[in-house]
Parts: sequence; structure tokens; C-alpha cells
Amino acid sequence: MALPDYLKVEHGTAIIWGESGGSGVTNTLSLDALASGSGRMGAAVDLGAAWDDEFFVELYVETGTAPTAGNTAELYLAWSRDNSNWPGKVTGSDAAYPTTVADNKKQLGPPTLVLVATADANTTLKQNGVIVRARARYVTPVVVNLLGQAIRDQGTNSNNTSRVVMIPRRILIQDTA
Amino acid sequence: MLSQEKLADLRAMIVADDSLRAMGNAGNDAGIAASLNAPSVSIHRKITKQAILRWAASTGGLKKLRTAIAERQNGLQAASEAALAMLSSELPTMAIDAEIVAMLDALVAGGVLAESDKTAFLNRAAETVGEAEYALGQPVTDEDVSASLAGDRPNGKLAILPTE
Repeated sequence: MALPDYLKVEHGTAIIWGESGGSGVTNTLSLDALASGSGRMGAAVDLGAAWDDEFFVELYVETGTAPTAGNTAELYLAWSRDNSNWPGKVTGSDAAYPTTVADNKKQLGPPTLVLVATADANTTLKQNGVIVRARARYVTPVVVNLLGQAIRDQGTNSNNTSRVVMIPRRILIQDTA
Repeated sequence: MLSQEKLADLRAMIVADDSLRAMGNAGNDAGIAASLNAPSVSIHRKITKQAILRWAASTGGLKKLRTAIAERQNGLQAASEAALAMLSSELPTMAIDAEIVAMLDALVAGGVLAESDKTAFLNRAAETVGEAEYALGQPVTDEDVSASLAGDRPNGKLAILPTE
């Protein structure tokens, strides 16, 4: 029997944090009207007893008033081995990231992804995604708004398009290229 | 970052001003910072040696002081001498404080200098700074504004600011 000749990569099912009820959202991260200088942490996700090694991570932030180009929004991923012990005052539930945000976030290490703003109002800004290796079974995002503007305050929260997306990247072994 | 005391002062400035409060309600912290940093308030902080010489050239101010000292025409010889010494010093700049303004007022009251000489002197020392620098002693950043309003924004979300 011939052995497989190729290693390929395929995407698994996306984990999408965003406003409850928003299109495609699987887990809550309420970013509606998040003030500048504030942070928000999302509901934890259980990646399973055996989890994927690599994920493609994206950050989408919907502006209201146009931010100054070059200002940023930061995404941190907090990891837990047991959904109980979380770093940096993360709880695993959707809630305000506790103050002082600038101090607490340092316990999460460097940002996983930094979105650099363009001066666009009422626009969903998308930063190029990054690949991360899962550190543990449970994960949750923390978004810190440093745009100098609040994230868009939608009349209907679920209309928000701000999202954190994590998509598994899986190695596939197959015969054909 | 401003001190806690200055953050409280900054918050008071924001909620007391309709346009700043409206920007705060919308989460436009950068707009508030830009507005408070925009040059709008004229202050007299310091005057350069060059500006003093220009003032002397246009008003004859230094000559008037020398005349007052030489003629001993009133009780302001000492004040005139002190003023002349200060204005003639080699220091590149001179701070304008209440004492200097009081000295000029005394010289005007004594007839050594004209009121227009004092106005011209202060005009040459004038600079325009932002409201933040005038009230808080330094410009403010977006982060300062956000921090000052953090207590008014439950869970970090926008909320209508009070009008007090």
C-alpha cells in the first residue's frame, strides 16, 4: 500500500467571540460602546480534552467616531489549564476587564495581536491575522481599547461587527497535492 | 499620566463644558484632549532677552528707567534701579510672575513708565496655550481623558456624563 505523500493544512470550525446575538458569534465578548482606555474579557472556550495545536487569530473592531490613524486596539489571549486558574485577573466570563487595565494586562504578556487604526468612522477595521499555538485547554480573549474613541455604540447591540476569531489550523495527511 | 488630583480637575473641566461633555458622551476622548490642548488662553510666562530689547527699542523703556534713577524725581529710584538691573541682566529669559507685574504697576503708578509701556512689555511676553496647560499645568492625552472619566463609565462602557 502506498504511503501518503503530502502534508496539507485545513481550517477547523471557527470560534467567534462578539456581541451576543451577533452574526456568527459563538461566545460572548461584549465590545459594544467600550470606552477608550477600557478593556473587555470574553466568555471562556473549552477547546476539548484533546485540542488543536495551532489557531489563526483575527481581530475586528468596529469604529464609531473615526479614531486617529495609528491608534491601537490590543488583543490578548488568556489561557487556563482548568477554567479556574486564569492569569491577569481574567475570570473566564464576559465582563469588564478590571482596573487598572494598564497594569493588569501586563500579566497577560505581550498582545497576541495589535490592531492599528485607520481614521475611518463607522467601519469594521480588520488587522492581518496571526498564528498562535494553544497553550492550554481553555482560552478567552481580552480586548483593550486604546483608540482614543469608544468602540461603536450600536442602538442594537447584536448589530456590532467587532469580533475575535480563532480558527483551528490542522495538519492533513493525504495522497494528492 | 496626570496625578489623581489633576484627573479629578480634568473631569470637572469636561463635565462643566457642554461641548466637551457631548464628546465624552460619545466616547470621543481624543477629541476632548485635542480641544483642551488647542491654543486658546493667553498667558505671560516668560520674556526673552531679545523681546526685552525690542520692547526697549520701541518704547524707550530702559531709557525711562535710567532717567528716573538719574533725576531722583520721585520715590521710585530703588524700584527703577532694580527694574533696570533685572531687565539688563544677561539671563536669556526672565520669568513673568506676580512680583514682576507688581513692579511694573508701581513704576506706572509713579509715572516712570506709561501704562502702554507695561502693556507692550506683557504683550511681548504673551504666549497662547491650551486650556489644559493653563488649568492643569500640562497638556492632556487621550489616556488622561479616559482615566478621568473611567468612574463615570460603568463596566468601561459609555454612559451619559453628569452635568454638575
